[in-house]
Amino acid sequence: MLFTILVYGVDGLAEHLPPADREAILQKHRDLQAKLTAAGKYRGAVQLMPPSTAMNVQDKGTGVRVLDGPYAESKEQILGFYLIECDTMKEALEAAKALPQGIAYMEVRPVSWAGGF
Amino acid sequence: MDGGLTGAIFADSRPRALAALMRSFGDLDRAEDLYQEACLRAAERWARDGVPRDPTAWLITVSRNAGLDMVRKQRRLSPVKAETALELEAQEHDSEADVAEAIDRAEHRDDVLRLMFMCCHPELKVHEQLALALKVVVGFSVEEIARAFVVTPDTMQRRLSRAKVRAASLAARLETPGLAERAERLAAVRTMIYLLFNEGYAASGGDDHIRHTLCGEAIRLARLLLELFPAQAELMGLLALCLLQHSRAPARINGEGRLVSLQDQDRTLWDHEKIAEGRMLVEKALLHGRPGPLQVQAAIAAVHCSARTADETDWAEIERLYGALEIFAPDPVVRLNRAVAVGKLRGPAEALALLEPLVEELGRYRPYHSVRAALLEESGDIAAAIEALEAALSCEPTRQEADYLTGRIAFLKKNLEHLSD
Repeated sequence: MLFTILVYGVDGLAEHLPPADREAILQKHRDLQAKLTAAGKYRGAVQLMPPSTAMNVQDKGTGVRVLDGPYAESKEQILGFYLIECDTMKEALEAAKALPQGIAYMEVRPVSWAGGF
Repeated sequence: MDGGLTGAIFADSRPRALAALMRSFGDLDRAEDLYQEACLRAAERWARDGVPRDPTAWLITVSRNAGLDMVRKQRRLSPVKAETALELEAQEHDSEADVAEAIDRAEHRDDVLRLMFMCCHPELKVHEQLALALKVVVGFSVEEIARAFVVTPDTMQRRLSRAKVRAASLAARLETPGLAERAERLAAVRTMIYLLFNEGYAASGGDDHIRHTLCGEAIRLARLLLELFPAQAELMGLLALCLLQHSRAPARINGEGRLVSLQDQDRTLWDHEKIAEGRMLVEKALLHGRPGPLQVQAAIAAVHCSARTADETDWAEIERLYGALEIFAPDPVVRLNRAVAVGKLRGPAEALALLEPLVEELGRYRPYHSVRAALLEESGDIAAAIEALEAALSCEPTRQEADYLTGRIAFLKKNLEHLSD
C-alpha cells in the first residue's frame, strides 16, 4: 500500500540554522532514503521550491484564472513529501519518525490512487 | 531542546515581532529590548515545555505583555495620554491565538513594511540605512555590523544611535499607508534590500564571511517581503536577481582567493537550486506584464545563468534586455553593459565606438576601463589594452581586483615582448 509523508514547516527556517545542524538534517533524509531503497519501499521524494514561486489556477465560474499565491493562512507550508510503499500505517509512521523532527512536522496519509510512474 | 532550532526561530520571527512591537510602543530601543527579553524567556520555557505551535505569536504576546507592564509602572509615576492608555488596555487581553490571527491580517504586513521603511529614512546615508536595517530587522550585533562596514564597534554604536533617533522621528509620522504610499514604501525598501545585497556582493572591503552573510540576509528580507506582498512583480524581480547573482558566489573566488571573471568561472560550482528558483521567479514576474528595472536585470542574470558554457551565452537576448533596461534606467553603466553584449555579437570595433562617448561619465569607473581593455586586446591593440588596465588599476580596486589587474598587465606585457621578438 502506498503512503505519503507530507512534510510541513516554516519556509526558510532551516537557512537560519548553523551549517552543521543543516547538514545533520540532510543526513537524516539521506539515511531514510537509503533505508527505504534497500527495503524496496522507496517510490520517490520531492522538495518543493519556496511558496513565493507558486501560482494558482482556478475557475470560479468566470473562466480559468491564473493567480499569484499561495496567500498563506498560516506560516507553516508544505515543504515536500515522500511516497513510500508500506504494509501498515504503523510502518509508515516509523519512517516519518526517522525524519528530522522539530524543524518540521509530518503528516502521514495513505494514498488512494497513484499513477504515471 | 535544540539550541540551533530556537536560534533559528528567534531570527525568523524577529522582523514580524519587532514590527508588531513598534506598532504597540512606537519605540525602537524598547521594541528591541522587549524582544530580546522574550527570547531569553522562550529559551528557558521551551526547553521545558517544548516549542509552541506558533512560536512567533508566543514571542509577540510575551514581549508585548512585558511592555504593557512597563508602561503601567511608568503610568503610576507619570500620567500618560488617555487615548494611548485606552489603546494599550484594549491590547492587553490579546491571547496568543488572537495574536496569531493578527499576524495573518493585512495590517501586519504593513507593520513589517513600516519597520523596513523606517530604516530607509531619506536623511540617513546609505550605509546608515543598511546598518540600521541589519541591527533592527535582521538582529545583527553591533560587532557584526561593525565588521561588515569595517569600522570599530564604538563608531558603529554611535552611528546606530544617531540613525535610530532620526528614524524614530520618521516612524512617529508613519500611518497605515494608502495604495500610492504603499507603492512608494515598497520601492524604497526594495532599493535598500538591493543595496544591502550589493554591499555583500561587491566585496569592497571587510571579511568574506560577513559579506556572504549580507547577501544571505538580503535574500531573506526579499523573501519575507514577497511573502507579505505576493503579487508584486518587482519584488519577484528583486528576489530573483539576488538569488541569481548569489548563485555564482562559489565560483567567483578561486582557491587562491582570486576573483574569477564570469567568462572563466567553473559553472559546475554555481548553485543550481538558486538558479532554478531565480529563473522561475523571473518567469512568474514577467507573466504580470508590468516589467520594471529589477525584473529586467534579473532576466539578464537568468540568461547568463542558463548558459552551460560562456560560449553558449545568448548575447542577442542580453543586448535586447539591456536595451529594455535603458528605458527604465538611462544610465551610462547600463550602456557600458550593453556595449559588452554588442562586442560579443558584432566584434570589438562596434563596442569600442559605443564606449567612446561614455568616458566623460565613466572615466573614474573601474569596470569601464576593464571592459575597454578586454575589447582592445581582442582587437589586437595590446599596448592600448595595457594602458586601459593601468587606468582601471588607478580607480581604487579592491585587493582581489588589483591582483587580477596586475596579473593581466604582466601577462599582456609578456605577450607584447613575444610579439616584438
